[in-house]
Formats: sequence, structure tokens, C-alpha cells
Amino acid sequence: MNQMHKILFAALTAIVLSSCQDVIDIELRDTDRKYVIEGSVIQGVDSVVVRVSRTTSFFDTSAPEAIVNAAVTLTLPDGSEQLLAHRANGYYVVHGIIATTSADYGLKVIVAGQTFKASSRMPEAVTIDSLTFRPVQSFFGPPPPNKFNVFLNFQDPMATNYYRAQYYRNGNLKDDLSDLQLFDDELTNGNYIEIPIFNQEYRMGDTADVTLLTMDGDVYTFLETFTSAASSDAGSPFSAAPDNPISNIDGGALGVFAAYARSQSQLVILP
Amino acid sequence: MPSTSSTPSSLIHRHSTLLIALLLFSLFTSAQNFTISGTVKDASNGEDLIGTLIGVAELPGKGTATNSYGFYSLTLPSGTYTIVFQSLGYQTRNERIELTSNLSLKIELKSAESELSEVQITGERTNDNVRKNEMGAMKIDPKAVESVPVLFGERDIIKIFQMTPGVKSAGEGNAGFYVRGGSADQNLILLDEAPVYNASHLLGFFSVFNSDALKDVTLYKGGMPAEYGGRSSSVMDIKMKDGNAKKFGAQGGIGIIASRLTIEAPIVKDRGSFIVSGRRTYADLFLKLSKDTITKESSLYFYDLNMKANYRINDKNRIYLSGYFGRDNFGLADIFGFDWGNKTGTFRFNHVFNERLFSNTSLIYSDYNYRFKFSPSGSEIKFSSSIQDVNVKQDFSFFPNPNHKIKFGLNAIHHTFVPGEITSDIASFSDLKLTNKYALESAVYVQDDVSITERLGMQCGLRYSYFDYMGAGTAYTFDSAGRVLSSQDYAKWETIKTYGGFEPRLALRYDLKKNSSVKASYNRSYQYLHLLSNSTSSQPTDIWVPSSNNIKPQTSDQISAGYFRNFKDNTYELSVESYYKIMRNAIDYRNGANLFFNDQAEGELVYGKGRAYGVELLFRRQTGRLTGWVSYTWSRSLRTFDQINGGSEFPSKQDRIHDVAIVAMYKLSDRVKLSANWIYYTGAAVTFPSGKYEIEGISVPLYTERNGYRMPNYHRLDVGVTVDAKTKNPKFESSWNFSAYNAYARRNAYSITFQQNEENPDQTEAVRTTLFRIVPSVTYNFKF
Repeated sequence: MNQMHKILFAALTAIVLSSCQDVIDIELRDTDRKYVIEGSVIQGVDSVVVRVSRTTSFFDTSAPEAIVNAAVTLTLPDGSEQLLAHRANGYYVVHGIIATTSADYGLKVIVAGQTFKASSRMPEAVTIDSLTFRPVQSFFGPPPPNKFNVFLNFQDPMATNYYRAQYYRNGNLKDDLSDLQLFDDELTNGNYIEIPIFNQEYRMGDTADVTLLTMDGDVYTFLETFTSAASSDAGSPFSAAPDNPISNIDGGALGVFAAYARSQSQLVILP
Repeated sequence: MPSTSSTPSSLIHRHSTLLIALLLFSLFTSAQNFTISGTVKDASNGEDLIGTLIGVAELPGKGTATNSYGFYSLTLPSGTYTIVFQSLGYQTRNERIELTSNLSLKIELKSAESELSEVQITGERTNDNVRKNEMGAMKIDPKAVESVPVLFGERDIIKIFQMTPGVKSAGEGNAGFYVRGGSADQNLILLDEAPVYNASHLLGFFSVFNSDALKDVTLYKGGMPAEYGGRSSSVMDIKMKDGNAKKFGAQGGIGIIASRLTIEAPIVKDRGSFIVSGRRTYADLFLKLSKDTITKESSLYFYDLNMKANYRINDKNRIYLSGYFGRDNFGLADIFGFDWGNKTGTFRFNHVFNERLFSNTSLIYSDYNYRFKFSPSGSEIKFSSSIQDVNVKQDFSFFPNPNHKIKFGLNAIHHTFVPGEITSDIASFSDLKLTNKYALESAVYVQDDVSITERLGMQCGLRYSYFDYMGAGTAYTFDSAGRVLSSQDYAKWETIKTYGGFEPRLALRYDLKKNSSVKASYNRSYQYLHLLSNSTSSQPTDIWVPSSNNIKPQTSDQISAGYFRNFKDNTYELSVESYYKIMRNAIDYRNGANLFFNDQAEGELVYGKGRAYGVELLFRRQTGRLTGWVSYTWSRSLRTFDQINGGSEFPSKQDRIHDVAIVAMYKLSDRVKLSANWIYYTGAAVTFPSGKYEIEGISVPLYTERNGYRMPNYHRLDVGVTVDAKTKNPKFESSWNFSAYNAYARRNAYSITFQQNEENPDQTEAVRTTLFRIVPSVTYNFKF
């Protein structure tokens, strides 16, 4: 709904006003660099990857500074710890993890004497019942030929659930900010739900892969606030005063540690 | 009477009890006194004249003024007097009277020659700004600022106020305004006494007030009279015209985005009249020219309809009925529908109990609502939200003697808040309705405008307000992170939480010389309703909520002091006012707050305090060929919240340090008037990033402080020319107005946002959005 009225206001502004945009030079201050941690444990994926980096000044054009000397530890639901090895460019990896659902995972990162900790609960996966497709709807005139939207159908369990959908076309993941498709069941709790994937159009013969991730509330909050912080809309008069995403990491680092339960489904678009 | 050698403030302080006793004594000790009372009207159309000054030539310093209904009363010892009726823009009238019994005197004033009528900020009669007890008040006659150039040529009284000291626009071209560092929802906007909850159209670019229907607008920035309450920053009191009681009249205009038409006529000549005034935009007609189908099939318009009728039953009784209906409508073909608007209605009954006691009873209704409709592929989702008020008000004006003008009264408002309801015919969607909220807001007040000595005057008042947040409903409590701790259900009319408090109001004036004075004021106000907004600009979807077990009333305490001086036979006026204001229980939002369709939205709020201070300077010339004013404000507005900016004080979005406005009008000939405005202000405080990082390969800005940066400084020049058309029929007047907004086409930043460069994702850039380069406009106006 929120997204809906943002679109609406953007449309209104564009229609009514002869507004114009240009890129300007502006001086921004530099602050103390902060550590950034992003890591995830995904059901059915046997390696866990954690990235450790640092913030840079805003107009810096180089790649983010990689932190290569951190001690990164994953805590499994049984309390055992796994050390992640630095692979390259601030990415730390451990293999052979068999993730279980309804279980808690922990992450500890020690870098330059500072300790950052996070934990995340992997909920139960919600099974995708089916993927279906329909021709892309056109609001005016006949539907465009050979363009299809895929729909994700599933039964929402009677509990609070947080979802994230990821979608592939012929094996290619759509991973722009606008592809981060998040939804919860506040208005649909316990219902049989059909979710449209509007951001990817498919053609006849395409293979569509859809992943449905479920996560705890803190990770969902992070992703939601991350979406608005990273949006090019942040700071416009039509959004709230911008702020950093709400991290689930203690100790003052930015970023997120997420445990995702996962279900997947595949559909080949055929007549 | 106490000696005038002490300073006014210490005098009040030390001898307040004695003073009050003396005042009360002086109210009721009048031996052989008689009262002159009646009404003052415009001779051409029978409109009541508000604030006409009534003086006595033989008794300098004694006098009164007409109230909102044109009624006056003046009690004097028996004798022979010359009573002087003065109103700016009208010829002064002297009436010789022999006062040996109570006297009723109905006065009609003739319009003065046009040399005065260019820009008149009326009510500011000769020397009036120096001699009136009140301060921090600004009165503008909509008719007098007709030729000031404005955006799209669409006359807007609020935009004129934005060019006066202490008032700032809420953004480029925006009809929202901030008064003395307060937020936009802290302004009480009354249209014929009815609160208007969303005073703007079309994303805020136009106010809902159609100037053709308005008689008188007064903005109280400080030293607010006790008869007003309910918002902590200011009161804008807008009065609609009553309608021409003498003859049929019509006026209208055709502009580039809207047309207006007003019709007024007597119901029974000199006894009753009505006015109907409408305005509609036709921006959507241009959409039809678009090549894009969605744009072509879309609708986008607003309209306003003002109606008012009054009827004098007899000399003692008069009734009024006024209403306003306005709506914005936006539709993207059949896909989206979005509309919002206000409705207000006021029924008033004036009764003259006797020569000295005037009463008005008002029944007021006001409603604001918005609706969404979304219809993807044949199905439909609807959303609606509203606030409704039913309001009863009783006011008395009592004129015991020329040294006192007393007002007292009471008021009760029942508020119904409908935060939201979603209905849909989509199977997987559950219909939902948020719980309605109810509250009763009531107040009693008394105020007195006192002449203590010829040089010392005072306006003092006390208001007691009381707020009862009540069921049926559910009250939640929250932990420090905003999660629900507990909830409790309440039955209908059952009290959930009450608040109340005294709101003292005091203004003092001391005349230094005939043409200069110093004034000081203090006032406290409570605000029980709060506007929750998901964005830094105001939107139709912002939600009004009552004070509750979680939200405390916002309060403000303001002290101000000023120096007022006129030069050259009152041709030039100068005023300097300074103020300091403390705001408590200010509202802001948690990071990522979700206010839309959230029964527990109160958990998303954080509370803090604020302070604002500044100096305002106004230099003005009201007569002659060249008229206008120079306004300069230096001000700060700061906020402190535990949860924001690490608990450190930060500048609010209202914080613009320097603010300059120059408004000039020049009468080139009898037919041609030139006008120009120049506006300059320091860029508003804003939050920009001070670094960046990457998450999932997407660049994210790093924010380190709230409002730690400034937008670029803003300035623009508007120019206009009004040419009266030659007509054969002397009864038909018409004119053309040509104007250019932002005449030197400066690219003022409406917003600055940051994004990844499309070609090189490692590069981030600052993007400036400019709304209006030059906006030329032409308007044709007529009147007969």
C-alpha cells in the first residue's frame, strides 16, 4: 500500500509539473568509517558466506574497502561454532552446513578489537504450491503478444510470516533493488495466496524459477528499511526523513545476518 | 490607577491583585452612563465591516471596534459627542450625537478613493499597529492583494501570508506554512469558525481558499486571544463574505489552470443576502493532449464551492448559514482512483441581549476524508479514512465601558477519527477496518481588552481546555522499542484518558510617543490533535490522531516583545518583534515507521521537545503610488528527541535562518499596475548521507545526523502587471493580469536525492529536482 501511494504521487508530480532533474555538485562530510557485515544461512545451501567491509565516502568511485583480517564465527543451533575462512575481497566462507528450520543461528565477527554479534531464527519454510502464468495485462488495448507474468501460489500458515520472493528467468536472477520483493501476511493471514511477479516478464519457452524465502521479523525489518534507505526516493519530500536500515547486528556495525528458510519451484512457459 | 512610571511588566507583576480588583471595580462603577450600539456596514454592498475603529473626538484614547459581525457598543457618560468611524479603505464618518439615553446607530461607510486601495493590509488603520494591544497578529484583506504575482496566477491568500515575517512556506509553491518554527499541523485554520483539516489542493500547490469568497483573514502568530485554542503554533481565522445585501453582483476570472465564478445577491434587500462562489481547475484538459494513453485517460482536478446566506430576523436576531465543499480528484483511467476533500458547515445565531451584551451561538460541522480505489484486472480494492467534528460554540461580547472589551464563551467539539478501512472483492484479501477513535474537546475562556491608562493597554485572557479520549476503542501500551505490551478494550463513551490545562494569554502595550509603542506578550497553548505523516511534505493521506494514553498534548509557551513605530504621518510603518517559544511533547517517528493502516501506529512515535526563537522585521508603506513591504526574519527552530540524532538537539525542517520578502506594487496610471516580489531564504535543514556502503551489491547511503546539511539557498523574483480593460458599460469592470513566477528562472532545488549512476554503479551522484523554472500566466477577471 505504501509503495502504491508513492507511485501515485510520483505519477501526479510528473503529470502536473514541468519538473526537471539534473546532477549537481554538493559537498558532503566524511565521518568515521563503519564496519559493514552481511551474511546469510539459507536452507538447502551448504555454504555460508559472510562479507565484511567498511563504509567509504559518499562520492568515492572505488569498490568498497574489503576487510580481510576479521575473525568470523558461525554458531549452529546445537551451540557448536564454525570458523569461516577468508576467501577473497572480504568474503568469508564455510562449507558443509546443513541448515535446519525452526532453529537459531549466531554470527560473531571480531575485527580490530571490536566484536559484533548477531543471531537470526530460521523459521519453517512455506511450500510453493504451484507457479502459474497469464499474459501480461495491458490497461489499454489488447495484451502485448508473447509476454507473460508468473504467479506464485501458496497456502499461508496461521502464524505471522515474512516473505521474500526471488525470481530467475532462464537461470538469471533479477537482483536490482526494485526486484527485492517483500511481503507479509498482515492482510492475508491464513489465506491461500497468489503473488504476482510483475518485475520480470517471461516469453514462451522460458524457464521460470521462483524461490520463496521466509525469515524472522528482524531480518524483514532490515530488508524493508534497507529498501527505503537505498531507494533513490530517500530524502525526497514524499518520503520520511532518511535513516539507516535497522540492523540486527549488535556492536555498532551496519548490515544484516539472515537465516532464510527456502522453497523453490520451476515452471516452463508452454502453451 | 497606578502610576505609569513603572514599566508595564513589573507593574503587572507586583500589583496584579490590586490591578484586577481595580479593573473589576471600574467595570461596574459607572453612574449616569448611556450606550451607543449598532452595526457598521459597507455602503455599497452591505457587508459587515469587521474591526472598524470607533472613537470619540472629545475623549481621545476612548473607543471601541466592531466585532466579527460588525456589531459595536460604546458606553459613555451623558453628553454631546462626535463619534468617529474609521476603517482603512473607507471614508471616515463623523456622527454628532446627543447622548441622553441609549442610542442605536447603524452606520454605512463609503469606499475611499482608489489611491488607498492598492495594497491595504486593512485593520491597520492610521496608527493602529502602534495603538492596538494585540501583537503578533497580521490581517490581510484578500481584495487588497489581488495584483500580487503568484504561481499560475492563482490568487492565494496563504501565499501572501508566507511573504510576511515569521511565516514560511512549507516548500516551493506550497500552500502549507510554518509559523515561528512550528510545524504545519500546529496551525489552526478556521473557515467561518470551522476547522479545516487539510487546507491544500493538488499536493499542496494551492490552498483550498478561493479568494473571491473571503472577506477577512487574520493570522495570530503569538499573543493569541483566549477565544482561540486547539493548536500550539498559530491561528488563521478566515471569514467568508456575507453576500451583497444591496443588489445582485457577479465576479469571476479565467486563468490558465482554473476558473472562478461568484454570485451574490440580497434575499430581502438590507435584511438578508447570499453568496455562492465556485472554482474548478482544468489541468486534466491538457492531459487529453498527451500522447501517452494512460495520461490521456486520466483525470486530475479540484474544485471548491463556498456558500453563505444570512438573514436579519429583527434588530436583535440574525442567522447565518455557511458551507464549504472542496475535493481533489485523481484517476488513472480505471486503474486508480484517489480523491480527497473537506466539507464544513456553520450555522450561527447572533442575538443582541442588550446594548452592551452581544451573543453568538454556532453549530459547526467539519469533515475531511480521502479514498483510494485500485482496480487491477477487474477486481477492486478500496480504502477510505476520515475525521469528523461536531462542534458547539457559545461566545459573548460584553462592552461595559470604553475601557473594556470583554469576551467570554465556551466550546465543545466531538471528534470522530476513522483511521482506515479496506474492502476488496479479491478472494485472498481479508477485509479490514481499523478501530475508530473518539474524543471530546472542550474549553471555556474569558478575555478582556483593557485601556489601563491612555498610554498603557492590556489584552488579558485565560482559557481552560479539557480533552477526553474515549471509547469505544482499544488502548495499547508499548515498550521502549514500540512493541505492544498490553491492550485494553473500552466501551462506548468510556473515558480512556483525559488531559486539561489552563492557557494564559497576555499582551501589554505601552505608548512611548504618539507614533511609537512597545509591546510584550506571553501565551500558552495546548494541542490535542496531531497529524501523523509518512513524509516530510504534507500529503492528503496524512492521519489525524487524538491525544491518548500514549500521545500527550503538544504544548507551547511563547514570550515575545516588540517595538512599533510609524513615520511621516503614518505613511511608513516599522515593527520589530522578537520571540522565544518552547514546545513540549513534539512528535517524530521511529526509523522505518509504518503509519499507514496500522492500528498500533502510536507505537511508531517518539516524543521530544523543541524550541524556536527569532526576530521579525516589517517595514511597510500602505499609501501612495508605490506600496508594499519589506519583511526580514532571522529565526531558528530546534528539536531534541532521545531516539533521534543520538539525543542531540538538531535543526528542524522549519529551520531556515534568514528569510527575506520584498513585495512592491506601483500604480503606473489609472489603468496599469505593476507588481513584483523577491523572496530569499536560507536552505532548509535536511538529512544527507556522509558515506556509503554495499548490501547485496546495492549501494546504500550512510546517514550520520538528522538535518545536518542545508538545501541550497532559495531565491526568486515574480513580476506582474494588471491592466484594466476599457469597457463601454460603466457597471462592467474587467482586467487582465499577466505574471511570471520565478522570472529569472533560477533552478531552486525542490529536493536533492542521491542515486547510483546508471552507467557506472560504483559512482553515486546527487540529483537536484527543480519544479518551476519560469511560470508565465495570464488571468482575465471581471466584475459587474
